[in-house]
Amino acid sequence: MGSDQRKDRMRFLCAAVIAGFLTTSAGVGAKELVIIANKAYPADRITREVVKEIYLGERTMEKSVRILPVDQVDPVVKKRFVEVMIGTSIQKYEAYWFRKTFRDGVVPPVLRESSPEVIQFLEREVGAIGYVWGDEALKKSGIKMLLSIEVGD
Amino acid sequence: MKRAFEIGMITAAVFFLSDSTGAGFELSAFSDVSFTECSRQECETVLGDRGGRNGNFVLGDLDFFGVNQFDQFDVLIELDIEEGRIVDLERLTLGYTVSDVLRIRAGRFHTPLGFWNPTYHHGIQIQPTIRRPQFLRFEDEKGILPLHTVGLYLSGRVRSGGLGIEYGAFTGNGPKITVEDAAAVLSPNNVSDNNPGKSVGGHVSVSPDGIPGLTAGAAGHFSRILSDPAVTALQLPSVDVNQTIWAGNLTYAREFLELTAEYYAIRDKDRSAAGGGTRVSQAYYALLSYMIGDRWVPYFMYESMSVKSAAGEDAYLIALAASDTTKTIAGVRYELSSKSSLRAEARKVRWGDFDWNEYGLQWAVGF
Repeated sequence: MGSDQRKDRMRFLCAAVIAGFLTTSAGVGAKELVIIANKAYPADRITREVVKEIYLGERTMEKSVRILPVDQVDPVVKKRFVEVMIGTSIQKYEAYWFRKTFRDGVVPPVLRESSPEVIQFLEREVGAIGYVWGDEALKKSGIKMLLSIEVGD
Repeated sequence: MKRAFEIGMITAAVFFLSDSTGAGFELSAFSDVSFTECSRQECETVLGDRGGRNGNFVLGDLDFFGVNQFDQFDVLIELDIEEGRIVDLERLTLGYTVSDVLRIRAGRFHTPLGFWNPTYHHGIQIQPTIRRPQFLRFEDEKGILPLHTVGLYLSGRVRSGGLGIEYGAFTGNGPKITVEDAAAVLSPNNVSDNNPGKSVGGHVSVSPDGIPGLTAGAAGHFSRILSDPAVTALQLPSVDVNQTIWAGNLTYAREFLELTAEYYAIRDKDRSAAGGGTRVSQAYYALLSYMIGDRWVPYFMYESMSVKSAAGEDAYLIALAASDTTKTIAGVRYELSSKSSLRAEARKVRWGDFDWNEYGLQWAVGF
């Protein structure tokens, strides 16, 4: 093996170590929000735009199933969801729903206290869709994941 | 006493319904208290005690609103207690959603004309000003437009080519002119129709993705309107008109700025033996508001109603005692919270040959 080859191998190893370090450090603390639904929900994938339409009451049906969006009372996960997915603040989101319900007669998202309660509700209702932190949705049998979004620390 | 008991029972029933169902019955209520004073005797000449010459505290409506959904069905109720004594079922619809493209509702609903009427309904807290524009007053407030319909309403929403499109079509009992409290008023004919012609109408509004916050809409309403015989007992002309209403609206809401404008043309063709011909009246308003910080919203509105109600003109508008009216309104709203606000307004009013200034304060809540 010539010295050039050794230098190339060293450069490759260094690059791999640095890349691995950067990847790992970026992953540490990066939280993942997942959009989940009942296992029989009539879609297997969903886009961010559709999630926004559902949580703003603009899309209420999926095929012939009424969509039942679920919101969390937990202000940490709700704040992150509303800011990242809806693009507004909790205060404006709630004011929007107050008007929307009155104007169009559309019921706002169901409220659940915590992620386990959201998952329990989703397991029962075919049209139910909700959001939880990624690690909270692992190994749950009655639900499926439709979308995953990294939302930072 | 009997009336108070009835109102108490209804209020208790509404709250019980809200509490007992839990699973999805959404109940809200609106209320407000205002103070109004006008500057000159003319307001009393035109509006009587309600003009505010003496300075009036005004008890607003107590408006209950509830909606429930189950499977593809929904029920919507809006029950209004007016002036602390009149119970009025403003909306009651039974709905079935086939898809987002087609929703079917039957019952009593707010006629989907323009923007204001199907948006703010009776919810004072969510409307931008203390009062509705004069020409959009409800039928039992001496309004000139059929703002409630009893019948069938199909509506839907689609997306196409970068446009969000909402549309609807409806049919119902044609309105009539009847007598209430010794005055002629429009009635939506809740349980009968006094002529064979059903009212029909439709609307469409478009929101382009390329201009976020902009919505433009158009609507039409066609009906035959007859008066009850009791109207002639008030020395008013009997009414038999074919009425066509065209409405256009434009709204733009972006960041802190909101602009709303609506225009209505009301065309009445006289069918009576006297043959009064065809008359066209017009009404419009433009409203501009701008939010400063999180709480202060100064606003400016100009509204105008130009009607053919002189002797020998439109029997429909003569019977409803409509007058040419303009109002220039400057006000400020302070958002106490997302569900409560204070408003202060100054209005310059011209009503027929009279004019005066008004001042108004209001505290409104929605909860």
